[in-house]
Amino acid sequence: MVDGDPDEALVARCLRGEVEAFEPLVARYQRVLYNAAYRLLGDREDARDVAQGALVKAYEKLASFDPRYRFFSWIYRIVVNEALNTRSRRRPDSPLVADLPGSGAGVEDALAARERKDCVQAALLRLSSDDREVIVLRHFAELSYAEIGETLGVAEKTVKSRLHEARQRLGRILEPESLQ
Amino acid sequence: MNEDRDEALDPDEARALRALRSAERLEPPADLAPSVMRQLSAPSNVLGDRNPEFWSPDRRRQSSGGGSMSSRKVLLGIAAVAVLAIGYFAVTGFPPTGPGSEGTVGAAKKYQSEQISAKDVQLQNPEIQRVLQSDTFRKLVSNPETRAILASKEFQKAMAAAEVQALVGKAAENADLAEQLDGAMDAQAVAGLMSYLSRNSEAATELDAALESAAVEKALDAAASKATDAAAGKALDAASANALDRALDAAIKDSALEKLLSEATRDAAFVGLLKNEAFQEAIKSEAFLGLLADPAFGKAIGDRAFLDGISNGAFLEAARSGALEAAVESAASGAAAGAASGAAIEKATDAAQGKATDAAEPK
Repeated sequence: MVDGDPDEALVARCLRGEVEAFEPLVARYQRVLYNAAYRLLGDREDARDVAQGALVKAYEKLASFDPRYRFFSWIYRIVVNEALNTRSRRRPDSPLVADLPGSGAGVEDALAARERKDCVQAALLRLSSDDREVIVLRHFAELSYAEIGETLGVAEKTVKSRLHEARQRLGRILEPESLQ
Repeated sequence: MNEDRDEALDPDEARALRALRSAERLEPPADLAPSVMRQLSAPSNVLGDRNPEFWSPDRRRQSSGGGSMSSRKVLLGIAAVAVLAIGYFAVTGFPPTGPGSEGTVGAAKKYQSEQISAKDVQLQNPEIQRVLQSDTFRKLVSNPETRAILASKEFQKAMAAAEVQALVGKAAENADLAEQLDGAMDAQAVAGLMSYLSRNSEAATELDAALESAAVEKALDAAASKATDAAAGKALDAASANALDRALDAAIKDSALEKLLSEATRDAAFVGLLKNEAFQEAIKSEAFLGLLADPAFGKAIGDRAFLDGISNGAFLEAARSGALEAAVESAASGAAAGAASGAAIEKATDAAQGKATDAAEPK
């Protein structure tokens, strides 16, 4: 079954010229890459462009992929780079931070109203890129600490401490007072 | 993937965890995967930038048979000049023309003594205004070689006839010219265009088809032979070819020119300009080739703000509507002030839109 083939096998087939072998990889990772791009950028259209561009670029650069590492870690780095490029191309007057819920809204109310305002996303965009990235990898890409460490090139314990601190900062942004 | 458990150590973290667990997980657009696979399956993806050998100096020095990447670089350089010229005319109107170099020098002096100010720019799009008033743009249009091109009769004629056609024609398969332009053109810009073409089947197919045009092949063959003499001193040596390779490799990850070509290759007026006979005549000139070899030009087409502006949809729409032509005519008939041409573009755009509305009305 093609869809069940491990990443490495599919990559090897792609490198032999079988373009169709890339399709299961796209199917496997498009959701998590799209979500990661969205959480990094806060814009669905940008996220789509970034995910698509990264997948195509990954295929084009497949020969440079080192099979000692996980395919996802590699392609995720491409997504991050594409996302950073997209951000840097944005116009100066283009707001990065989405609107937060209106004044007086408590965090519980704000979370309940996330369908309208998505205050989690707004709060994420207030974090530094490093904080946002580790949270995105953990909670939206759903990687283990070890996988995050591999992706970011840091030790597992560093991932844990970074994640803890990033979530603390996120929690403070989500305080009712901060949302006012 | 995730075998670890997240436990909050304090109220802030607990709040964050609750919020993160309740956050929406989006489904990717339904056409995302098909779009990716379409791009990968397209002939354009055979362009070669996924082949590590593709960008090697040896590969680029080969006198290739049929639509080489180097010849495409030539065409893309010309395309960039054309867009540049459109931007220039949009602000300043046509430069005064004169016989030979006297007129050019005079025009250059005149330009150097006059700075473009905000009041000279009446285009409505603020992004374009910003770009056209940028230092990069100012430096570029104050370049004597640039002005020599823009002041030439052939080029004016070409610019005035932005008719609707398909993309460029077959480039000269001339290794000497290609290498000269490799060195002259901004590596990042070229790499961005190539990267874009490799991922956009529509643009690349269009380009491939147009590369078969005998007319453009002839024009560029002539340009190649002139370039061999006129720009020989600027040819790449082995060291600079290696440097270019490194730059290409780095630049392929990101280039604003992707956006430019994304817009330009879909713009019939723009690509029509490239196929225009007068324009092809203009590009045979030594001055034109000199412009391509000018570092200022390379810098300008690598400037993100500049490219963002000239690839703006509204800007291209002005060219598409015939507004550019109207502005050029206005400038050539004596009303050649920057403000006038900007206003002419707006007027012509409005007129074109009105015409389109009229055509859509049921009789």
